[in-house]
Amino acid sequence: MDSIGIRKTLKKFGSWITNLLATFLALLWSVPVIWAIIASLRPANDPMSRGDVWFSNIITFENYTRAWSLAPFGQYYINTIVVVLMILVVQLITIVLAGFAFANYEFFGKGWIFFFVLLQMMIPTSALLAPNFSTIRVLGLFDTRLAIAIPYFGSAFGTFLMRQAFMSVPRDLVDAGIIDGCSWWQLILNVYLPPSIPSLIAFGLSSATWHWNEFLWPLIITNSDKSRTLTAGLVRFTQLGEIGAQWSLLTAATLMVAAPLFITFLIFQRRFIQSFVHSGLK
Amino acid sequence: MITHSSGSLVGLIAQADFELGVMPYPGKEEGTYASVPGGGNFYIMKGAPQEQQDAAWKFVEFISGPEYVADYSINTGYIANRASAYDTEAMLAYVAEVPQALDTRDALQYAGAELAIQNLGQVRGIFHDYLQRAINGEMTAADAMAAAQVEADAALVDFCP
Amino acid sequence: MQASRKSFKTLPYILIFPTAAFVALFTAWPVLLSIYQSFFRQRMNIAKFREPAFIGWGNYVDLFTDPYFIDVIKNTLAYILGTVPISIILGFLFALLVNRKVRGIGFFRLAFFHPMVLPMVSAATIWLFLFTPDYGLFNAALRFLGYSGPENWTGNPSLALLSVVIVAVWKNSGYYMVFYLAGLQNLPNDVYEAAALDGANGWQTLWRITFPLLRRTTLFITIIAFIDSFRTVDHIFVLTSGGPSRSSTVLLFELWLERFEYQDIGISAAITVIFVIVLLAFTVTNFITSDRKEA
Repeated sequence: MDSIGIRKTLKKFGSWITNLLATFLALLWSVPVIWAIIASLRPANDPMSRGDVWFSNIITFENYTRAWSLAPFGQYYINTIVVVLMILVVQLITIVLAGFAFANYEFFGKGWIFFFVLLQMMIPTSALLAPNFSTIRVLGLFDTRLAIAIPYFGSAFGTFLMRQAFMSVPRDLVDAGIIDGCSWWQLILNVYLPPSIPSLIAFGLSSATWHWNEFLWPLIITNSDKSRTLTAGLVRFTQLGEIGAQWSLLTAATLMVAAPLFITFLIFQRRFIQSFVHSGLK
Repeated sequence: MITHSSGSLVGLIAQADFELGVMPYPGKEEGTYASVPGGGNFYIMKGAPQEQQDAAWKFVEFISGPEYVADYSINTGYIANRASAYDTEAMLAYVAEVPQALDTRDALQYAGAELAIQNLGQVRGIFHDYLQRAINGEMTAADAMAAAQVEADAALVDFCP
Repeated sequence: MQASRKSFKTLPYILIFPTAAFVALFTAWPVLLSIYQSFFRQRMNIAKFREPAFIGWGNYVDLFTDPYFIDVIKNTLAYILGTVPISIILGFLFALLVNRKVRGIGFFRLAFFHPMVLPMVSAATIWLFLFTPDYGLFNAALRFLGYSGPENWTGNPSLALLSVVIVAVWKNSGYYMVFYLAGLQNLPNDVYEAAALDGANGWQTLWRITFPLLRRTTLFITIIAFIDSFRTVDHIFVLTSGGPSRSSTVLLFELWLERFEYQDIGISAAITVIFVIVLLAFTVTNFITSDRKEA
C-alpha cells in the first residue's frame, strides 16, 4: 500500500476509535438519568440489590402518585412556576427599559451607572445570602414567593444583553423612527425590540432555567409549603429519615422536579444551548 | 442491620421480603439497652390572646387523643405517644399482625433524654463531627467524645450566667 | 455614533431606576452591610450577644486562627482544583468529539449537555444512589474494572470531597463543551489547510494549532468554572451535608452554617466579605479579558 492508502486506513481506524470513544462517553454520561427514569418505574416493594437495579418484572407509575401524596408537590409546582414567571416578567420589563436607556441615550454618569449595575454580575446572590436574608426580614417578606423573586428583578446580565442587542440596531432605523415622531416607548416597541427577540428569548431561557433549578436562596428564605419551591421541597423530602433508601420513590420525586424544564429542553435543544452560550458572559 | 426511625417501620415491613425484627440500641454496658426518642412538640404561647390559647389547647387535645394517635402510629410506624393508644381496638388488632410495633414501643423503657440545649445547632454539629470521626475510625470513641466535650463546653460558655 | 438627547434629560434615569434600585438593594447594600457587620460580635441565639458589640478585626482574627476555617479554605481549594481543570479538559474533549458532521451527532451533544439542565439537587439525588456501597452503579462499574477499595464515597472522610467533585464535573463538562464547540466552529479554515499541506498529523494540529487558537475561550471558561465552583453547594447539601467530620465543607457551605445554623451574624458577615473579595478578584479578571476580546 502506498502512503496515501496507509493514511486513509489510519484515518478510518482513527475515526472508528473516535466513534467508539464518543459513544462510550456519551453512554456513561447518560447512565444517571436513564437509570433514574427506569428506577422510578420500578415497584416500591421490589427493593434493589447488587446487580438488580434496573427494570423489575413490571412497570408502574405508583411511585409518582405516592411521591405526589407524600409531599405537596402540587403546591411546590405552583410556587416554582409563579416565582419563575414573576422573575421573568419583571426582568423583561426592567432589562428592556434599562438596555434601551443605555443604548439610545447619552447622559451624565452613564458609564458609572452602567458599571454599578454590572456589579450584580460580579457578585452573585449566593455570596450575599446572609445580608439579603436580613433585608427580606426587614421588608417583612420572609417566607413569600415575592421574597424568592425580588433580588432578581433587576438583572445586570439582562441589561447587558439588551444594551448589546439594541446597540446593534442600525442607527438609520432609529433616526427614521424619531423623524416619524415616535415617542420613546414606540421606539422600543417598533424599532428596537423586533430585531432583538432572539436575545430576549436567549435571556428568558437562561433566566427560567436558572431560577427553576435554584436551591439555596429559596431554601433559606422560605419556611413553609405555601412558598417553598420544588428544589427546596425535594431536598426536604429526600432528607426525611422515614423515606430511607426507597430509590423508586426518590427517583420519581427527583424526576418530577426536573421534568418540566428537562422536557422543554428536549424540545427546544438548540435554543437552549445557544442561550447558555450567551449566558456565559455572566 | 440498620438504625432507623420508628417512622420507617411501615415502609420497611412493606419492602422486606424477610422477617423484620426490631430492637433498641445496645447500651454502654454489656447487656443493657438505650434509646433516644425524638419528636415534635406543641407549644402554647403565654402571651397569645385567650381565644387563641383555648383553640390551641382544643387542637392539642384532638391530636393527642388515643384514637387519633393510634391511627397515626399504625400508618407511619411512629411510636404512639400515649399509652392508652395501645389499648384501642384498632391498635390491638394491628399489633396482632405486626408485633414489631410493640417492640418499638418497648424501646421507650430504656429511653434517655433528647439533646435539648442552647446553641443546639453548633453543639449538635460538634457531636455529629466527632461521632463521624469515631465511626469512621479516625479517632477512638473515648478520644472523640472527650474532644467533643471540650468543644461543646467552649460553644456553651457564653450561656453560663 | 449617537446624538445626545438633551430634551429627554430625566427619561434615561427613570428608565434605569428600577434596575439600579434592585441592584442597589440586593447587591450593593448587602456588601456594605456585611462589611459593617463583620466588625461586630453578634449572635442571635445567645442573649448577651444579640446586640452587636464592636470588636474591630476580631472576627477575621478568629476565622484565620481557627483550624476548622483553615480546613474549610483547604477544602474549597481542593474542590476548585478538582472540578475546574477536569471539567474543562472534558469539555474540550467532548467538543472535539462532537464537532463532526456525522449523522446523529445531536445525540452525543444531548448526552454531554443534558446534566446542565437538571437542578443540581436532582442530579445529586441520583448520584446518591450511584455512590451507594454494594449495589450503587458507580461502585458496580468500578468493581467491574477491578476496583476493590472503599465504596462509601459520601460517608468516607477521605472520599467525600471527591464525590462532590465527581458530581460537579459530570454536571458542568457539557456546559464548557458548548463554548469550545462555538470556538472550534469559528476557527479559520485557512490555517488548517496550510497545516495539512505542510503534512501535519492529527495530534500536531491539535496541540500546535487548535488549542492555542482557543486560548481565549479556555481563559474565559476557566474563570466561569472558577466562579461557579464557589457558588454551587446544592449537591453538598444532598450528598454529604459538609461531612463526614466537615471534610466536604467548602466556603459557601460554611457561610450557610455560620449564619443559619449557628446564627452568628458577625462571623458570617466576615465570611461574606472574604467571599466577595475573592469573587471580585476573579470577575474583574473576567471583564478585563473579555473586554480585550471585544476590542
